[in-house]
Amino acid sequence: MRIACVYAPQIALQAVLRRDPKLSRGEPADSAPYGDFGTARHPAHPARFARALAGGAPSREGLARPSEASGVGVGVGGRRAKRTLPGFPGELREDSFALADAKGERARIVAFTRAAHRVGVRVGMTVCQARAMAGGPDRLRVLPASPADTAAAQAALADVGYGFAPCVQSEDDRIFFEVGDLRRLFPSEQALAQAVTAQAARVGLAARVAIAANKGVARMASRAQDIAIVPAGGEAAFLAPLPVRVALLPDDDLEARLSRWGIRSLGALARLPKDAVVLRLGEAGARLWRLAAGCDEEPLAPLPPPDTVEEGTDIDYPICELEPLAFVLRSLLDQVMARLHGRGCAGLTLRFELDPCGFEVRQIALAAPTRESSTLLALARLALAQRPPSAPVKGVALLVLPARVRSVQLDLLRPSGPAPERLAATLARLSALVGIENLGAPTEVDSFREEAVALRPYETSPDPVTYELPPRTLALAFRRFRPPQKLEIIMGRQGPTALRGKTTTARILMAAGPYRASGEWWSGEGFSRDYWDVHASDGAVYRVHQDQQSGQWFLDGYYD
Amino acid sequence: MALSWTPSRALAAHLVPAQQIERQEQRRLTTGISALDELLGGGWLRGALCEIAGSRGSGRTSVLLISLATALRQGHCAALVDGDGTLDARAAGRSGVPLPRLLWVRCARDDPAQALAAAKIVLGAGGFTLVALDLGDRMPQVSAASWIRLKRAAAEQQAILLVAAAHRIPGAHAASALGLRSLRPRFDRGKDDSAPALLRGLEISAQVERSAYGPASSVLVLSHDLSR
Repeated sequence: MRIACVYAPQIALQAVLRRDPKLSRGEPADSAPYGDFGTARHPAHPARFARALAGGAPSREGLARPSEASGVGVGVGGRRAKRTLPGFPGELREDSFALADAKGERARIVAFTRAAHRVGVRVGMTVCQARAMAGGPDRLRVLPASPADTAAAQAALADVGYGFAPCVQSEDDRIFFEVGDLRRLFPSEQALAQAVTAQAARVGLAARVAIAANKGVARMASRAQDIAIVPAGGEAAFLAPLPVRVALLPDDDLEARLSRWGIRSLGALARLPKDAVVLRLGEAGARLWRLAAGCDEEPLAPLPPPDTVEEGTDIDYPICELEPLAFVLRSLLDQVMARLHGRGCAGLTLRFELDPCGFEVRQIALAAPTRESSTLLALARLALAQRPPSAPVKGVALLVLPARVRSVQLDLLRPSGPAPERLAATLARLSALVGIENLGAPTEVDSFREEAVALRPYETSPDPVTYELPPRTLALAFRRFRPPQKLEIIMGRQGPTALRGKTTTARILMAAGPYRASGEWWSGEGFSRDYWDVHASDGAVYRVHQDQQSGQWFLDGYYD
Repeated sequence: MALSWTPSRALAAHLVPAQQIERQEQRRLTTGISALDELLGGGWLRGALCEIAGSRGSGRTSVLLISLATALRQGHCAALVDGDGTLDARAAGRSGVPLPRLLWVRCARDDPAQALAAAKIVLGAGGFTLVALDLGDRMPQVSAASWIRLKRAAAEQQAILLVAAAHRIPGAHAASALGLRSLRPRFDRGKDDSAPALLRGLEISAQVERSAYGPASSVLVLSHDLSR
């Protein structure tokens, strides 16, 4: 079994970078100092990044080393190659940017860009200390970490995996999935890894991909290189030059002890007798030795994708107006659409965190699944304009129910209808314009009330029922006022003789009726009416009725 | 000796190349009524704005519904943008409209701009052969630019935009305009004069008031089918 590991280093920092395009020039520094970041990673330009990756050629030992001619540099063993990308105006810019665990000067730094790392910013410093190291408050921008952004980035990373495999195991900053039959779809594992990295770039994440025979080796390889393909049976040889720290857990203190013994690489550790290592280091030593030897028995526990896709963000300053809120929503909708992998949005739920406390939820129904974020934004704006949040908003979360846009089998003998995806977008736009309750296919209701009508979702799928052409004669049509208009009627011996209503006043030339209709008495909302068809002096034939309970006359409509 | 004939200038203005007539016939959609098709030169012209104008009781809804029914039963997609929400589903069913296949957009009664916007959205989707825009009994003020945009959208998608209103509203923007007029209703008492009367139908007259591809034709009298 081959397992792929997709690792997004410093995902909390990347979460903030992918949300705010102004900050996305910053390049995250790896939490594990081993292995330099490749420079071909730039969240603000995912397409260029994907192109740059696609131009890379596999090198020996399965290491992704894009050709020097492409101008893309990849860090290998701590050395850095070229730092420019073709098509970029000049050298990649890096900004000093750090993430703190809270607001205020005493908050602790938890993540930072490489530029910040170069000026001496380290994890655990206070914001005040970090700014002093950087040379002043203007040299280092510090933002508080956003749990909502981090959760959204983790979910986006999982979605990258679900784009390639039906089941994925998610950890905080990495995912695992079985390669399996994907090798049939891609010419090589290298191509698969590049495709995964490109897909991660599309959702705004800089990811490393490693493919190996087990989870442990894949995890270590993903920490070491941008794209690492560990050949089957060659795990020990691949891991041998790597430092011990790539196999250590974040809270492990074995590195210092091993360093004192002169053990700095996994190869050196694997050459030690296992029993001696276990005797001195205990269970942790045994686990470390197995990993160094390329053996890992940790099972893969993948899960199917969740039913919904969620994106969220925390807002620095509470928002009171609709326009700034729509700006935030657009960004979230673009992100969530990029994660749907060709699926459409069948239902949208907005959750607003209110200031100082509480939350509100808005459900937005859609006539058909759509992938147009502008249409969804129009619907959201409509819903918010009708019922704005009751307090300033300090956080927004979107919950999207994904659904496949229905495909339609074309028929040689029938005219082609609208393309399913365009139809879905059209229905969504129309529902934003007239309301979802006013859009659909009319259907008759099993009711004694003449005016009863219902709407059901519109579909253009070929109907198995073959309709015959209607007789080439006119049928009497009727235009119905909804609701019926109140009317005054003058009654004579033979029936109504004159009418006066909101839209018409006329003598009645001919009257046919009455036709009595009643029903629904069993439900407590019964009705009893006397209907008349009257030919008025204005030339029209109206249908009127008198409510037997109240005596009031109503104009139902006219024949046309 | 070769025969040559030069038409007069007045006659030449009415001449249409034969190839153009053949093309137009292929691009027409039947109204569902043979007599009306003959009146219109084959039916509604695809890729154009067509118009039905008639006051209350003139039968414009009947013609609209039979056109929708015929298009839908031929396998085309059709939509009804209902400007005042007066569609009666039972009457549409009686006209032969397969209701599950009709896209009904019910617009606000006092907002004709909404109906125009909805029609433009439906036309823009492509694939709808017939888009019926029913503007009801009112006479909304619609700018010429709106009609030009709708006409272009219909031409791009090779769709028919069929506007039904009490008066002629698109005017010169319509490729063809059918004017309808109410003649008299038909009540029936059967053989017994003392029996209550029953409404059996309307007699209407139809006339092509505008045709961009030929002269307007004579008046046609239509009546409703008593059995329906």
